[in-house]
Amino acid sequence: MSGRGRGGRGRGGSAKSFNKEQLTALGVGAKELLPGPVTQPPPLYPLLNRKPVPLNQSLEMDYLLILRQDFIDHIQLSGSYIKLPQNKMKPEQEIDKLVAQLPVAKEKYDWTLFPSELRPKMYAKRNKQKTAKEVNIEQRLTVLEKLEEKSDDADVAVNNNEADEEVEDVEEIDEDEEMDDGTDYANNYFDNGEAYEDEDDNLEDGPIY
Amino acid sequence: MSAQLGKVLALIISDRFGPVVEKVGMYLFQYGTSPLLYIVKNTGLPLGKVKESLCVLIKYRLVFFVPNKNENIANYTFIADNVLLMLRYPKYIHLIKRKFGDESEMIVEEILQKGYWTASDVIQKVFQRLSKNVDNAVSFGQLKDKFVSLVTAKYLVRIPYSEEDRPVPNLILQEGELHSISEIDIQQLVISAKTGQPFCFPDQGVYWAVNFDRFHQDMRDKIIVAAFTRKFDENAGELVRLLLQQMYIRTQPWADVSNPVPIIEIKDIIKKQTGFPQLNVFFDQYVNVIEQDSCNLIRKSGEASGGSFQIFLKEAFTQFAWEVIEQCVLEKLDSKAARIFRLVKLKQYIEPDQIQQLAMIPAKEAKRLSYQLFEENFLQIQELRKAPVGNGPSKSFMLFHINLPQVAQMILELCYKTLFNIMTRRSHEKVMNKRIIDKKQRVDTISMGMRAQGASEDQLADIEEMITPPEREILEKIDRTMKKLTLVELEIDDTIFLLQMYLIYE
Repeated sequence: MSGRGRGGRGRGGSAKSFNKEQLTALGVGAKELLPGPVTQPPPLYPLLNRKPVPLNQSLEMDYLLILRQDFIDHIQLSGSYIKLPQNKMKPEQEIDKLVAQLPVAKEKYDWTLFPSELRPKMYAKRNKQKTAKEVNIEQRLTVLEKLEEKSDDADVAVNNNEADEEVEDVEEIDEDEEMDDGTDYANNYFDNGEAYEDEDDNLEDGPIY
Repeated sequence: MSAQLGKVLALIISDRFGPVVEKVGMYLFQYGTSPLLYIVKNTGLPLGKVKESLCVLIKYRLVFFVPNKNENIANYTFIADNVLLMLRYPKYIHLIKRKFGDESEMIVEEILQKGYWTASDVIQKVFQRLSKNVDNAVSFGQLKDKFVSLVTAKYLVRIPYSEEDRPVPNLILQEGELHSISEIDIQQLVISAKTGQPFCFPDQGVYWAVNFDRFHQDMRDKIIVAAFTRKFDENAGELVRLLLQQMYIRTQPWADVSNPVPIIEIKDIIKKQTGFPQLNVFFDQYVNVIEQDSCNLIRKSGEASGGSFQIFLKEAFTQFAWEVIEQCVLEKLDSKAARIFRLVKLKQYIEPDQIQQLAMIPAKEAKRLSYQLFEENFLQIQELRKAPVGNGPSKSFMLFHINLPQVAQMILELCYKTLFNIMTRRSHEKVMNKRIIDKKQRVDTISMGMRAQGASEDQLADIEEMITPPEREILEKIDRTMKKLTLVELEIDDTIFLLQMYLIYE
C-alpha cells in the first residue's frame, strides 16, 4: 500500500496507528498517555451514558394500546394466522392443547381478485373434470353406436341397455372418487360427540363387512 | 431497504400472521419479485401453505402481483411500506374516532381487520356490534350515511377489480370509480338482519379499503398545527389550521408549495367563529409572527386584496426534520455537542479550528465532540486539496458539513433498530414468563365460565385465589413492562412518520 509509505513510517515501524504529527493535529498532546491496546471484547450490554427521557402516558395512548391489542388478537384468531401442520408430538402445556382444539377457521376469498394458481386444489380440479367429462360422453356415444350396429335382436338390445346403465354407474362412481381425492378442505372432520351414541345403534344391526 | 428494516418487518408479520406467512414475506423481501414455485422451492414450505400465505398477504395489501410472461402464472412483489403501516393502524382508527365518531370508527376498524370488504357487509357487521348495547341504537340508514361520508372524504377507496376471466386477473379501476359510492340496499339489509339469513347484496364484488394517503395527509396537518400551537399558542395553531383548510380548495394535497391563499378569506372565517376572540383582535400580528418564524411555512406572494400567502409545506418539514435531528443529538451527546451541530448547520461548511473558536468550548473538548458527531454519522467531512506549490507539501483542508437527507435516513435506520430491539425484548419477556401468563389466562377462562353459569361470589373468589400474591406481583410487573414497550413502539412510529414525510418531500 502506497499510503503506508507516505505516512513517514518505515515498514514494521511503530505499532501505533498514528504518528506524532497526526496526533497533535487531532488534538492529542505530547504528554498525554494514549489508551492502551484493547484486549477484551466490549461488553454485550454497555452502560448507558444518559437516561432516556421518560415516556408520557396519557388516556389517548392507553386507548391506542387497546386498539392495537384488539387488532392483533382479532387477526391471530382469524384464518389469516397460518400454522404449520401440527407434528405428532403431544402438546406439553394444557393451554396448547386447548388452542389446538379450536376449530381452524378458513378464510373465504373472492377468487376473481387472485391469481388462479393460488386457489386450493379443489377448485382447480373441478374445472379440469368438466373437460374430461365431455371426452367421456363422446367415447360412450361411439361405444353405444358400435353396440347398436351389432345388436339385431330385441333381447340383445335389452341386455345392452342394462350394460349401458352399468357403464354409466361405474362412470359416476369414478367421478365422485375423483372429486374427493386430493384435498379435504371442504370436509368437516369436527366431531361434536353427538354421533357417539349412534354408532352403538349401527352395531346392533349387525356387523359391517 | 435495509437489513434492519427487514428484521423489523419480519417481527411485525410474525406477530400478526404467524411464522409461516413471515417466512414467505421475508423471502419476497430479500429476493424481490418471484413466482409461486420459486417461493415454494426456496422456503421449503408445503405448497398449500405458501398459497394460503400469499392469499393472506395479498388480502392485507402487503403483496401485489402482475402476470408473468407466461400468462398463467403471476409474479409476486412485497410492499414493505405497507407492512410498516400496520404499526400505525391504531392511530388511523383513533383519528377517525375523533373526527367522525364511534360508528365511523367501527367501520374503519372492521375494514382494517378484513383488509377490504363490501359496503353492505361492513354495515351489517357494525350494526350487529352496535345492537349489542341497547342504549344507543343506530339505524342502517345512519350507518350508510356514515359510510358514504367516509368514501366522499376519501378515507375509503374502492380497490381495483378485474373484468375478464383470466388465470392472473388484471386488476384495474376506471377513472372516477375510486370514490364513487355504489348502491347499498337498506331494505335488504334490514330483512337480512331480521331473518338472520345471508343475502346476496347488490354491491357484491365492490370492495372498499382504507386510503392510507388520506390519513397521512391529516396526520401531516396535525403535526404542523401542533408545532405552531406549541411554539406560540392556541390561536396561532388555529390560524395555521385554517390556512391549511383553505389551501385544499385550490391546491393538490401533496404539492410542495401551495397556490396563493387570500388572507381575507381566513379573516372572514375567524370573524364568524366565536372560539378564538384573541385571534380576531390580533389577527395581523399573528400572521406577521408566523410569517417571520424560522419554519418558513407561509410567505407573502402578493399584496392584492389585503395580501395573499403561499404555504411552503416542504420547507416546513425540512425545518421539522432539523429539529428532530437536533433533539436526537441533544439526547445522545448532550447540549455541547448539540451546540456544535447547530454551528455546523449555521455555517454549512466549517473548519475544525473555527468550531473551537465559535462554539466557545475548550479546544480539546470541541475536537472530541466533533469527532464523536462524525463517528455517529451526524457530521460529514469534505476534504479540499490544494495543489502543491512547486515541491512543497500538499495542503488539504478538512471541512465539516451536514448532509440532511443522509442524516435523516440514518436516524430512520436508528428508529428501525429501536423498533427491532423493543419487539425482540417483548417477545423475550413473553417467552420467559409463558407459564405464568398461561396460568392467568386459564384462571380467567374458568372464572368467566363460572360467572356465565351463575356461580356464587365465594366460588369465584376461590378460583381467583389460584393465583398467589407473588405471582400476581410478577404479572403486574410483566404488564407494566409490556405496556411501556408497546408505548415506545407507538412513539417511535411518530418519529418515523415525520422523517418519512421529510424524505417524501425531499
